Amino acid sequence: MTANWLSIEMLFSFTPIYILIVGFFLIYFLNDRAYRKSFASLILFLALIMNSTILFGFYIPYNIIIRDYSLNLTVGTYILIEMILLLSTISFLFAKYEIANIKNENMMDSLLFLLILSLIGMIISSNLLVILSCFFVVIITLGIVFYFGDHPKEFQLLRTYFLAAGLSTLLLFTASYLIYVEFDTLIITDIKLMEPSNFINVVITTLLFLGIGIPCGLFPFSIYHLKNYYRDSSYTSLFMFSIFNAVNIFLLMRILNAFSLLLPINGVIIMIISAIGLIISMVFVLRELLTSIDGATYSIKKIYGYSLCGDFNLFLLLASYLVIVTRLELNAFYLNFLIFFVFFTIAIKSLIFYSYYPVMLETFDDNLKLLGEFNKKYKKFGFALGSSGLLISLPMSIFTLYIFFSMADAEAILSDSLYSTVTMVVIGFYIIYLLIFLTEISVSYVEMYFSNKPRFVERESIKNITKYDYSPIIIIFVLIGILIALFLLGNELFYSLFKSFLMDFE
Amino acid sequence: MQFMFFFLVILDVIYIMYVFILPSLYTQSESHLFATIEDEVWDQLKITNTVVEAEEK
Repeated sequence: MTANWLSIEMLFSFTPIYILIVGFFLIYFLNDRAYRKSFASLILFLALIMNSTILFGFYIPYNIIIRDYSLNLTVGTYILIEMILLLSTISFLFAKYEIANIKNENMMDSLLFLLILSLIGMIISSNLLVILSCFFVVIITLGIVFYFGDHPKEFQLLRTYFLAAGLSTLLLFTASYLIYVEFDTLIITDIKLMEPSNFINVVITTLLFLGIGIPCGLFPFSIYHLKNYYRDSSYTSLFMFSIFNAVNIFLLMRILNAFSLLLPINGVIIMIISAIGLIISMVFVLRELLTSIDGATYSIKKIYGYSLCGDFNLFLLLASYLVIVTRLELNAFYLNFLIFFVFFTIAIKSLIFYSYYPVMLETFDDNLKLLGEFNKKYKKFGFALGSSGLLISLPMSIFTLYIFFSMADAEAILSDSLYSTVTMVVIGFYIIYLLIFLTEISVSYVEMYFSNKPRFVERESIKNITKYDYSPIIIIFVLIGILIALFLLGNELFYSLFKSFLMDFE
Repeated sequence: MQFMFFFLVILDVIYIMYVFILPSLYTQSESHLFATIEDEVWDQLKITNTVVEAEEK
């Protein structure tokens, strides 16, 4: 269906976005703190309800697809908007108690709304230029949000971050210029249909990959420009960064039409780059967790941030394998698993992040060695953190290894020694990731919740935990259960839900 | 595949032991198993400080 901007379907489809835009403007002008916070949560809740109605009431039952020169509204779009809204609710919960009583608090709140809106913009548009504009707004706003907090921060801290953002801008605009020259269009729906020469294909896809990947920690920059961001950011902006990371993965899949634009040579390059990136970020996680090389900070924010980089690189590693698989007609089977994998990882990461909630309430310190004895007061948060490691190792790893071993047994892969070697290498990297992830979770759990003699500086007024504060944990557990059930029972359900979103053709 | 399955199960048993069982056992007995090296250094620093203060007096 093509879009008619004045039709009822279009007006209806846009209601969550209209609600968020109204919220963005009104919140800036509301000066009363308590009133503003409840208004912000009301706006988020309304947008979430409207979005769920549109998704489950109309888009899934009737499988509506609205396509235009600038729009791409499908089932997958609304699932991702739902994800963004759900996760930003956690971010707002943190912002409510963390960034309190500062001078420009209303500005911070409306900037968070701007972030949500531009993240949604990255998903709903089909024009490359609009997508990239939203992408830059997200990067810059994340940089600005970083400076809000309990103490003033120097501008120098994010020098390398903005430098990398500039480089990424340059690469992406060069790529879009080349795409326009080569294909005469910037609508990603149409790009798939063209057949470029091999050389221009390699150049364009490499530029797109680097441009989108660099802000999230791709190899040449790796975590070099993100270290200060992770160390000094508030929990709120750190979690917004992790939502950006998640959306970026889907953006990359969509722009490259779920990697079918790539040639095998690109696949090999990406595999090497992401493997190096994965190793580097994992080494940094261990270095921060177990040693005092980096100034004995033992910072949970840094550990969380580095593991985010690790996730991004691991996903690219798994996706680069898709380039080989695409040629063997195992596409749907593998892509289904890949989408499930990304959603599962995001859910687990949110669970881990939410278990830092009591830490945020009690203190501004984030040093693992200073924190301790949280188990006395916050047992349920500890259970969430502990079980996240269990969830990633038992259901998730069994699925992953099962998928990879069944791939390795496929006739097309068995017949070629190169393919089977690559499969084994990917499995090896996954196991390294798993071992380091489990070490990270178990060490931080024991240090935070059990080590004796906590020595952190307590905040002046500590909020008491109510039963409503446990609701995100319950919601995430339910979502994880639904994800596992859908993966086991649905016959390539994730693929069929995201097909029109990722592949852009009918 | 079977080997990997056993590997994962063993990994999980170790994980559950380390995260769920051991800490609760040791908090019950109020032992200082998880006291870090920094704690010892911290205590030593306190002792030396008091010695210096006593000598100054």
